[in-house]
Amino acid sequence: MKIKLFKKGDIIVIAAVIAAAILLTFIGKSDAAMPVAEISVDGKTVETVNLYSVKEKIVITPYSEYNIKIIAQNGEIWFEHSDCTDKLCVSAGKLSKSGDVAVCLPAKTVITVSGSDVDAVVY
Amino acid sequence: MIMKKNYKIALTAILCALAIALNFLESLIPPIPFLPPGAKPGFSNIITMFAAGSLGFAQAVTVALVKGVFAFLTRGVTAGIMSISGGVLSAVAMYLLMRYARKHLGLIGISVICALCHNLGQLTAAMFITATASISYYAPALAVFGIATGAVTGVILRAVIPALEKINKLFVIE
Repeated sequence: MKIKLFKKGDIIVIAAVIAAAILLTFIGKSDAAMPVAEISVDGKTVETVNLYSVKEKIVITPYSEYNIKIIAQNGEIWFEHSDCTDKLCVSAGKLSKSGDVAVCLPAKTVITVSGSDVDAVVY
Repeated sequence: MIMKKNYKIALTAILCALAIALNFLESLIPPIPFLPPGAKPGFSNIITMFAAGSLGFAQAVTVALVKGVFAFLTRGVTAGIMSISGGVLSAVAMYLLMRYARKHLGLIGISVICALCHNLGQLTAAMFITATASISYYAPALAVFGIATGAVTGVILRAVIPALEKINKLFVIE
């Protein structure tokens, strides 16, 4: 295998990727003052939580193939428990800002936080 | 250099085993903060790249598929789909880039693009599984992480090519 480790073209590739990533970050994330969390299972929104007004603990158990427990408290929302194998959703941690996402793939369950001004969010 | 078909199959099997071993070792690394959960360095791509570069298209895709089957057997259907969607797309990209872009790109550049293809395949699969587009929020962080891991993978590949080619030579009939 005779391929050089590094060539000029590589710099262009890396620069383009960084530029695209920065651009996408600015488009995707907005510092909305009033974040809203949306819980969807299999593409259907099952629950919407106004994170800016959440103080007391709310426990949500969306219906799916797996046992899932989602907790919202003090402006944050997170997967507290899931029966799935990877537990990636639980390790995603607490979401509070617009643009935060946590996914439980086996259960097809997604928590998305967006600004309450929906027009400002670009998908 | 002539390689008998049987030897090529045996070598591909060895590479599959190496890829699975690397995949397993990687799963022992704890989640990295600030990154989307499940983001991994993708060291087994070193093996897929070697297969794409020195054996051929079918062999590279085979390694990716075997890796996917391993993920399916050990971690379930979703993991299998995620592994195959990312792995196969990036193996195809690897082969094409190594074949047609080696004049302009080095191992690092190819490896970075392949990491991105891996992300693209997985995010697309994840969007289909969850029927939610918002997962694409992960894309920028994954892309930047992909540059780092792509560069590391390229450097490691460069370093281990002599060792891998030694296995290769065992199979070559003079």
